[in-house]
Amino acid sequence: MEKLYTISVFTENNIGLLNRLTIIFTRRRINIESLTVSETEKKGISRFTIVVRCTEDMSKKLVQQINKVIEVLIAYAYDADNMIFSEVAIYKVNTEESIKLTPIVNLANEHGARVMYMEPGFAALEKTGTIEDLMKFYDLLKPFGLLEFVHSGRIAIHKQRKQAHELYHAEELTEYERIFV
Amino acid sequence: MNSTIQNDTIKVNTIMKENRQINGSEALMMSLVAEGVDTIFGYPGGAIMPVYDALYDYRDKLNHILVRHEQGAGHAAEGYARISGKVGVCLVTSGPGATNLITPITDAMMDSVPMVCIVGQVAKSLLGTDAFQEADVMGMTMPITKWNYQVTSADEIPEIIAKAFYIAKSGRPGPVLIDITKNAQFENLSKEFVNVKCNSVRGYRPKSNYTYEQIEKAAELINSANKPFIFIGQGVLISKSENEIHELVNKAGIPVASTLHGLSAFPVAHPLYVGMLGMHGNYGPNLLTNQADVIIAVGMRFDDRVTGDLNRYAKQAKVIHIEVDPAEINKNVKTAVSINADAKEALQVLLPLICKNEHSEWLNQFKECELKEYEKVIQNEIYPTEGGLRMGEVINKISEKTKGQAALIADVGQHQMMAARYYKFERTNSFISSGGLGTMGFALPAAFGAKVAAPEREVVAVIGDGCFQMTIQELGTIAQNKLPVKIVILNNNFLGMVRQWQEMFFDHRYSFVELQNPDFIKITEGFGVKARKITDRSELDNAVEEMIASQEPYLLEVVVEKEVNVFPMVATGASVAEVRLE
Ligand SMILES: Cc1ncc(C[n+]2csc(CCOP(=O)(O)OP(=O)(O)O)c2C)c(N)n1
Repeated sequence: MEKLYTISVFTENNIGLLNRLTIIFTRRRINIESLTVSETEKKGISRFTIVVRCTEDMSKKLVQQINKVIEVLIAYAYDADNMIFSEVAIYKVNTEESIKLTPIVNLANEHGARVMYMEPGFAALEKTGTIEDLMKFYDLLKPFGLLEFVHSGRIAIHKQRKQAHELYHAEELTEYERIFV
Repeated sequence: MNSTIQNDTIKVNTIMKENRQINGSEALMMSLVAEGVDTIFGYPGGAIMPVYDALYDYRDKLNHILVRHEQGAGHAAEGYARISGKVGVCLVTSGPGATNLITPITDAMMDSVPMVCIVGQVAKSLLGTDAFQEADVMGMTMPITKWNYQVTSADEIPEIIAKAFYIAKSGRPGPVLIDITKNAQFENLSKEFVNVKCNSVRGYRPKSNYTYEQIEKAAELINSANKPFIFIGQGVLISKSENEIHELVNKAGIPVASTLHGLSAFPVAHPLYVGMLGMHGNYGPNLLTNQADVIIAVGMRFDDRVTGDLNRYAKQAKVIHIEVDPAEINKNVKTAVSINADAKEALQVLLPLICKNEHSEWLNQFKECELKEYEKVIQNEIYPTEGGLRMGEVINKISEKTKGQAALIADVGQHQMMAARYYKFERTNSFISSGGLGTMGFALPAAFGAKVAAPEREVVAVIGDGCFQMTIQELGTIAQNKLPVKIVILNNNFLGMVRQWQEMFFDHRYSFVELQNPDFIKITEGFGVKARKITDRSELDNAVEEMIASQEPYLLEVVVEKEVNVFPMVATGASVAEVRLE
């Protein structure tokens, strides 16, 4: 059975790595639902969060292939139960009729959204949450006239006390041994 | 410290005393020497000229072989690596030089061959501008290398080269490509040259990862099996665990079969050796795969050419998989016990737990299959009494005359399968062919690569008339370097393997598979290589003898029956149990 898996990949921060990782998915005709990359709390180490829809067996095979990439420190796949995840969305709403403004701001307050920007004619709201939360809010705003909508990829961390770098042994190895000076 | 490094140390010290600065290209030479490189297969060009200039001073340490096409350099490096277990090294220019290497790099990736390719690139300032002979070699080779890296400053060279060699040869070996921009080749190092050795890379841990309990469980399965069956692959050769396999087979009395790449890891004449697995493997090993109760797969990856239809493959068997690459475990075949380890190490732990045993009834089943295959296929292939010469009888003759001791390099097609089937390997590391990618044109360059690595060995290349014409120009390399390679062209005037499929599965519609061949003898002689052509059975014995006796490179063209098929065969999509004898 196919479902959404979130794959966390810790890597060296090197040029070309995004390409190396995406090849693994495209070669197997797996579509990437979302992808987020940023540096972790450790300098020089990046974290890719990749969401794919596939079978459990495929998620394991993907992780094994990703782990083969030299600059990958470690990769894991999680299903929704084993992680904490979030996305952020920005909604651009039409406020040409000024009477709309108050109900929109109220709606934002009720749903934990924030007004990021406002000028006569439109407002930009921001909200974080799961994709379901974000889409629910989208539906509520729609009657007011949505001009644009964008949401980020998923970011996720696992539900364990350990820090990520304990998993990938960040301090463990030195690469080179000087033969002579 | 080995002596090369010591010599290099002296050299570095002198350079430093002279206060002479060294540039990226010279640093590259010093790094290669420090890695123990003695041979480079290459082809120069604009974007690699500083390196070639530095090479001029290192001619006595680094034997450079000028090929005729970069594909030849790649396959030669593969042949060199596979026979010696060392890393093969290629040196080529940017753009077209690099793209000509794409095929051998892919080949090396598929067949786990350790190779380091050093490629010139345009200067850093020109990257991404579509400069003359600029190609996105990094992008192109990302999916086909174990690792690739672009060097843009001379200072990076010592460490990156050390890392490249470490990655290429450790764990499951593979090709590494280092793209060096021209500025990095000629600029001086800003710091002192320091020779480094790389012995680990963060995030890359090619270590064994198994528990003793797993080994115990494997031993339990093996000891209680009624119909156990051992499969060996190239991993046995790479990890040098031939002796351990031998001991396991003898102790537990288990029949052993080989994949194409595992050939020669186990002597063909051994009573428990039952033959080759896969599409054109032997009858018994294929048929009985689906009857074994325990399969012990060592250093092989259940390629589809071995398994046929996976849904009907060895479903009854408990599979024990000993494999160094964790991504191969449970990829195609579900295992009962998986041991992620270097084969030698795992077998050494396993062996003391194995009980002495024999499985004579089970072995008899193999004997019966062998008899059937002999009567239906083998006898007529190696001892024909009428018609034209047959590929099998030629291979059999070479096998006899070389006493199973030669290194056999096979190209791709019917002749390859005949070579694999009928050469009676008595010595390890003796069969080299392109298995994963199936690259026509592989054998001629791979053969001289092997000869360079092992000059003391008899190297015989078996090549089809189609394949020969894909890298025929490498005869020039063989002649120039006086490499006494023996080349056997099995000429059936057809792209035989494709013709066989057209005959069997496309209703005899021979679409573009007949070749109008040139005069191979004249061409070969034109390159300055000795050649002889035979067409009749009566000449075979003498011709093979003459070839083996030759101290020079020698080409023997054998005109064989035009339309002969390779059997047994497991057709694509069929189950191994449906292996056909005709
Ligand atoms: C580069 C490349 N092109 C095409 C093929 C497909 N192919 C596989 S075997 C074969 C025929 C080989 O013919 P020949 O060298 O004459 O050998 P034979 O099968 O007759 O022994 C072909 C075309 C291939 N494997 N490699």
